[in-house]
Amino acid sequence: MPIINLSGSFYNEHGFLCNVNFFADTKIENLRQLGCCITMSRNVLVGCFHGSEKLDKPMKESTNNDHLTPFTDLRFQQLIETAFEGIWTLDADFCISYVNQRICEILGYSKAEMIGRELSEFMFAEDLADHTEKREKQKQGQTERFERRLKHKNGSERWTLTSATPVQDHNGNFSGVFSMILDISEQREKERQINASEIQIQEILEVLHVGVIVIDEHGKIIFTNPHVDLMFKCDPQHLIGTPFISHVHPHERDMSQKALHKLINGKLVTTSYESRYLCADGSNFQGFLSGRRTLDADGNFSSLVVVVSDITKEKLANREIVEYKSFLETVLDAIPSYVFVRDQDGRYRLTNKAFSEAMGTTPQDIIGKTNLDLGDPVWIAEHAKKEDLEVMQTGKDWTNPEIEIVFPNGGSRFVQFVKRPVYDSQGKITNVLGVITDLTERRKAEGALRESEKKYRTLFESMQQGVYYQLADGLFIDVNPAALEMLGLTRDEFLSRTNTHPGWTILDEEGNTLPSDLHPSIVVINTGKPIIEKFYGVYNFKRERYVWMVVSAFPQFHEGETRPYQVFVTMHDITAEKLAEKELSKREELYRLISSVVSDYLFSTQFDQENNLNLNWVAGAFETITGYSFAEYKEHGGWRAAVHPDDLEQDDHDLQQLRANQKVITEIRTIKKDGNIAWVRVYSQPIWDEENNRLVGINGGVQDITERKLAEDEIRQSAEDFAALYETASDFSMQRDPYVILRTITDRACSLFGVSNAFVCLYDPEQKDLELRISKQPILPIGTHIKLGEGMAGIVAQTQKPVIIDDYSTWHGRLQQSDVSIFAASLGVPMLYGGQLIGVLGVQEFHPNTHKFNKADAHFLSLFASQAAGAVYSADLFEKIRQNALELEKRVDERTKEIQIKNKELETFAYTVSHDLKAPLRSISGYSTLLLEDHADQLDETAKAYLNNLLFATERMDKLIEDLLTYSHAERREIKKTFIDLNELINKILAEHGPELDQGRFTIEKVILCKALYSDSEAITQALRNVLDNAIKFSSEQPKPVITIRCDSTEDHCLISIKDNGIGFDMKFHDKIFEIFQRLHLSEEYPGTGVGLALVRKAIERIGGKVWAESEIGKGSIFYLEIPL
Amino acid sequence: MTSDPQKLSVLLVEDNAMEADLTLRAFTRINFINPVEILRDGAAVLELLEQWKTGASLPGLILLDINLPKVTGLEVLRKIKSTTQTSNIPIVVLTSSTNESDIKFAYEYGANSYIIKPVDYDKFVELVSTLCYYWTALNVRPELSR
Repeated sequence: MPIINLSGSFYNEHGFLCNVNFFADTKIENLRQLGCCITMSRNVLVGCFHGSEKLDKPMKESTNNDHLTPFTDLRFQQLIETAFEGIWTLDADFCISYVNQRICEILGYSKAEMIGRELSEFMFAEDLADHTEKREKQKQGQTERFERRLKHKNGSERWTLTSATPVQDHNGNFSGVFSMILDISEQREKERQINASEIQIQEILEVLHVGVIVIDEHGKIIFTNPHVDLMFKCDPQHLIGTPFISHVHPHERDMSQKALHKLINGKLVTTSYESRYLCADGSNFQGFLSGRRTLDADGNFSSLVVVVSDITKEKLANREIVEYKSFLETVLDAIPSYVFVRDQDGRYRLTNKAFSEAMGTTPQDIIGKTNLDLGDPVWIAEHAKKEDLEVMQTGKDWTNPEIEIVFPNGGSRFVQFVKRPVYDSQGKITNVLGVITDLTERRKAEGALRESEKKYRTLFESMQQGVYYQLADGLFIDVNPAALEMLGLTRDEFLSRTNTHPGWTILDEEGNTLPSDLHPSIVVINTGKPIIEKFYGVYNFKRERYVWMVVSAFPQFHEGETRPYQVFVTMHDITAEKLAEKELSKREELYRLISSVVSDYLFSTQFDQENNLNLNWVAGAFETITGYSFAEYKEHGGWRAAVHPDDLEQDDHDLQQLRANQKVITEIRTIKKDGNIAWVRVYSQPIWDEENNRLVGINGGVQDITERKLAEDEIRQSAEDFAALYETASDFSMQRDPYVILRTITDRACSLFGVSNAFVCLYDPEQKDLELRISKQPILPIGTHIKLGEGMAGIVAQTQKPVIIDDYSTWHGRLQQSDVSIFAASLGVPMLYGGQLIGVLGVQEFHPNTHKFNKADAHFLSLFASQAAGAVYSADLFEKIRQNALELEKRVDERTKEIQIKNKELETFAYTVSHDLKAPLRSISGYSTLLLEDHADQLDETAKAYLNNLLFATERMDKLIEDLLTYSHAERREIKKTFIDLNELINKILAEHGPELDQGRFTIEKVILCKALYSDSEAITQALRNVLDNAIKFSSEQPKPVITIRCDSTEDHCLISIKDNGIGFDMKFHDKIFEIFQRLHLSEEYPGTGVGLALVRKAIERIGGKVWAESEIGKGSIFYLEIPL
Repeated sequence: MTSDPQKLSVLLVEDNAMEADLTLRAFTRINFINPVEILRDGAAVLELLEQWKTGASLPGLILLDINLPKVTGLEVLRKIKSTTQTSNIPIVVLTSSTNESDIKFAYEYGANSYIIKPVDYDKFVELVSTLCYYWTALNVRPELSR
């Protein structure tokens, strides 16, 4: 930027300032030689004179014009001060002697702050060396231009372009420096930035994964980035200087050449195309090229920049996608499910053959269309779209496990419908995949199977005939409720039974109990031949009596086998069969009735101005059904007037549905002209005004279903009746208390008939009269006796037939004492059991209104009464048995007491015996002893021998009495159980034999495995002692007697065995040895009273055990004591 | 040591004459020199009890049978043992009864011993000998030691 207007240059005696072109170059040199110091800054020349007189003239001469106006000090000053360049002068010591305003702006100091300071103070330390160097040069008079860093007042650096001109005094000595400074900090910054961005571009080009190639106007390559070398598989920079076109695949060179030409010629600014390129190794790749011409500053072609990317892989991937798509389509078309993809607008993007066929079109035709386009009704299309959007918004599957869909070309199908969101590559949901799986066939098949299984099961469970299956090994595997009912067992009880179960009593026709191997199922299993309709009786524990039934049993064989693997048994309770027959015939009659009545009429109605429904026309059996003629009917008030008052609400509801454009099928009561009620089934179809969206009329048909309704009611009623009877029967079977049974009967009768009173009078065969036993609301005192033939109950009892009385209060035959003043519909039936009159059951309804009993009621109450009679009869019997049992119990008690007294007496007797028998013995013994000892000298040897025999006899007698006492004591004494240590007890008993055993002759072996026993200690001790005594006694003659004692425990017993190797005994005497006073040996050989083993048996039997022995003569014996644990 | 054991008398209560005779002979056999008095029924003992109460001299030992006519041995035992003046007289029940309740009651009423008479006479003599020495010679009676 020029400092001043070029139109004027200035000078004064100190110097000048002018455009660089102001002087010719020679002139400037001339001026310099004259001692003018000239500095150039941009296009301004500044001259300094050191002696104005010297230069004034040449200046004038040289300019030769008046353009160079001499300028005054002031103007010069102004010029300097306002100059863009900073200007300063330094003195000879390089201290600042002058600065202009610009310098102050550049460095941030005021003039005052700078004047007088050394220049170096405004420099950075690291630049001082350079400064010193420059100073030297300037001192030598060298003018220099250089870039220099200066320090701003705030410490920041300012880059300057400085021109420094040394100034000399008149003597030519260095007197200072004149400098002009241009602030180039911003420029420097920009340069730095440009440098940085150039480096960045370089780096980008280095790492770029596309090839960047620059081509000159001749089509030669002048630049490549490293990726180009990779793409073309050549050495770095190898392509530089080669024609670009030579690397294009020969087949595509023409096309490429033309495109490049157009760019170079400026016909195109950019271009892009795909072509193949040759690599250095001879291979090629598919590339995508985009090119752009670049221009220089003057708008001329500078170069062509092309970017080439390798798209070979992309191409392959695309091909794969196409192939995969085709594969997918093939798969989709092959699967039977209906598949489609719809976009946000509901347009089909993909479908399979199955779906398009069902839609009545082809996959090609569906694509791009919406449901609406395909002819779906608006609401369906909207609905589907709504669901699609929901799936897209929530990103969740939508599943309808079973839905009926009507396809244009596929009819109605039961399907499973799944919709699933489809994500695009950005992860956004743009489509919905729908998969519809046809369940119709599966459903049919499943349904049929289920149906058949259900049918079988229902039949099996509900059939009156009892059925069970039994495997050949006797295991019961299935049974139906009827069979369980007949047998009086629960299912679990039955299935866990076997034919040998003690409770399984089966009688044949003659009433003989059959052994288990002659049970029908077992016979069939064993013979493989069926049993057809044979008569058996089976004991029913619930009913506590035999149930007689006709039984058939059929063997079932696996193919090719001759033995049945199971047997199938049917049982027919005779009573049940009869009931079933009755029910069957009743139903058949009803169906006959229903089928004979088939008639209906059609109608059309329309709303009139007042919004009333007007019957327009009818056709068919109108008169038959309504009883009215068409005209009469309208006059009477039409449909609404004919509807039964109780069903008006239903009719209102139906009309509401019709107003919502919905079809209605309803069953409703109407009143015929004759006042009778007719049940009708009405099919109503709304006549809809689409424009105004309202109901304008109704078309429909009416069918008379009165008969069917009645039949249904009756069937329901009879089913309920049977259920009630069954319940009653099961109630009764639980009860034995006569009062509870009577109460159950009346409660149930009341609830069955919905009446307020029920009563039972029981018949007394001895008095031949009735006694009122129970009544919910008695009209006679309970306990009243009623004679046969009197009152309702009396008549029922006499005739044994039901009596129906419409109103007892006004009945001529009413009992005078009965307390009934209001209307009382009454029904009485006999309670018969096995043809025997048990009593009378009656029901009554006290109501001024209308309840009347009819024959059906009487029939039903009779059925109920027979059940009740059975229950009362068994309760009565039971009561008698109970009385008998009580009597029996009492007698047993008495007998027990008697026995106890006798026992007591016996005990006393035994002690008395022991005492009184022993006294004389003592005397005999005493005097014999006295004789032998005190009078020995008077006795001869024979007398002494006799006396000794006497003594021996008394001793035996004493022992005998002792044993007898023990025995009788063992029989009667009380059992006291304690814990017994067998080992200790055995040791104790053995110790009693101390001297005999201690001599070491006896070997005693003990194996005590059952150590402790909870039992009666005395009994065990007595038994063990006697058995051990015997063992010792009978083996004492052996040279090496061995006694082995074992105590073993079995599951619930302790088995003690005592084995000896003594003389043994003949096993034929086995039973004898355990009897009292039985001996196998002479008492001289082996002493004993014959009570020991009897005592053993008695003691062990008293505690519930068993005793036995094994023996062989000469070998020894084993005695066993088995004691319950 | 006893002061004068020889003077202690023994009262034998036994209804059976032969048994009583045999017992006396047993005393003789063991050279028992103390006086032995025999009573044949319970009632007689109770009469004697009345005299004892009024100061008559007490026997050193009573051998008592259970099965006695009129008043049973157990009743006699109870009365003697529940009478202050006589409660210290040693009483040995000598009987053939093995009745458990007899044994139980005898000890309950205060019998000093309950002996079942053996049938064997030699054994009986041995038993009587042991008894008499125990109660009349070897043992110091409580009231005599005072």
